[in-house]
Amino acid sequence: MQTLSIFELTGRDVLGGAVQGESLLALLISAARPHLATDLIVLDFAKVEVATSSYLRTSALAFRRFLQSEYPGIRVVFANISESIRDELLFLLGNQCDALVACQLVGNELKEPLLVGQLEEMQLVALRAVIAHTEPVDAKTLAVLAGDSSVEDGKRFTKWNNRLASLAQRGILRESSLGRTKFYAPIVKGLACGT
Amino acid sequence: MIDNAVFDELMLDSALISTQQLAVECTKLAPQLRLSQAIEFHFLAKQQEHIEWAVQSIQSSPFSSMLIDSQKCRRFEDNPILTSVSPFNFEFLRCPIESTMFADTRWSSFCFRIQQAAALVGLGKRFAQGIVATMEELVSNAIEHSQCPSSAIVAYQSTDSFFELVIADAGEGLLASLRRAAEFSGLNSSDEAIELALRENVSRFGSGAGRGNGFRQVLRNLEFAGCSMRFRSGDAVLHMNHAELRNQMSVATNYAGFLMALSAFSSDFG
Repeated sequence: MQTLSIFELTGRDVLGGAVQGESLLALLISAARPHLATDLIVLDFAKVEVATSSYLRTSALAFRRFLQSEYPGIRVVFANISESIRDELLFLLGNQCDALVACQLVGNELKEPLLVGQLEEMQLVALRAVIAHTEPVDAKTLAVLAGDSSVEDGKRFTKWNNRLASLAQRGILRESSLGRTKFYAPIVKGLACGT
Repeated sequence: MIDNAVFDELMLDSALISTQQLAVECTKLAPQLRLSQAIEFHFLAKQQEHIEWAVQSIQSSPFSSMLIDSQKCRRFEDNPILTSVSPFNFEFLRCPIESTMFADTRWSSFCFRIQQAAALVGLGKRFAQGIVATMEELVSNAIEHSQCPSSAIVAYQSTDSFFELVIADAGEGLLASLRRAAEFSGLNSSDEAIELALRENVSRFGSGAGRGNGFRQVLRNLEFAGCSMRFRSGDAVLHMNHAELRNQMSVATNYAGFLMALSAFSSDFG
């Protein structure tokens, strides 16, 4: 796990502007580059009180997209976000039907993980089903538990696979493989879906 | 200090413009001009190629040296390094035009002085932070959308009883900018353009692009903040007080660009 402090990188507790966000994006990529062997990068917003949606779009969220595209094995978690930043993220991600994981970073521990944003209904159903398991779970198991018992029905099964893969691609779930089967678990244990 | 309504009336009188009486009037008024009014007049005079007005008419304004300095098109990196966190009576900065310049301490300390100045007049910390965030949004907009980022300036005026923040550019203005989006190509007045720009998710990239939310930080708290905003672009001026849009009017004097002023009096906070 690698932690990048937004306050240390910017020296600011109020962050606004799309162009200014691009400046942080460059700093984030540069700061993360030596640590690209990690599987989790925590963007720590401690001491940052305000960040506008434009700023977040061109900085932290652009960084998340950059990793999803260039280093798909690395997940990004937002830590210690203020109420104001949470509101901006909800507004921004709600418009895009996207979500991310936010939590508290205490020492080196990630606590109170919470889904921030908005997911399509069936993705949310899939996420809740994964969260209900204490151990990593595969699409087939979830399909059966959800009543999609006709596992032979390739269509339904594929839907569950797609939902889980999409949640993993967004950095909400962690994906691991055993043989040809993929197993999924929340990126941070104890993830809550919020409202 | 001149009320904005009086200033708007002056701008409304096209006869004054055509006879250059505006310069004479503004010279008389200069000592009482608010910072935003002085900047608006200065930009107007420059746009109409009446540079002599721009200099002469504001010589008796308390902001004269600052505005005359701006004639030299001072670059951001030529500004003195000021790390003071205490606000000055008034201050002016030509906006950075490259993203890397925003990491400069000259910029961050300037932003912090604006926040402190807003707090000094009685605006709450959260709202003062929102003002700085909005200012940064408008600076970014000037860089991205105005077509003339080098003209953009940020200035504030700060006393114990009054605070004003001004962001202004001499670019193409809101109407021309929004018309670049196909869905807004039919817009035909600057009044409409300003009103649209204040709505969420409206930008020259269209309403579905998830952009155009620069005013969110201020507007969602304006109702409770006890301050007013004035928007000027093209031939339109709009006032907003306690989140209510009012005094919408067209003025004769065309302001090529965009100007936003946010002002607050300590008397509004008891």
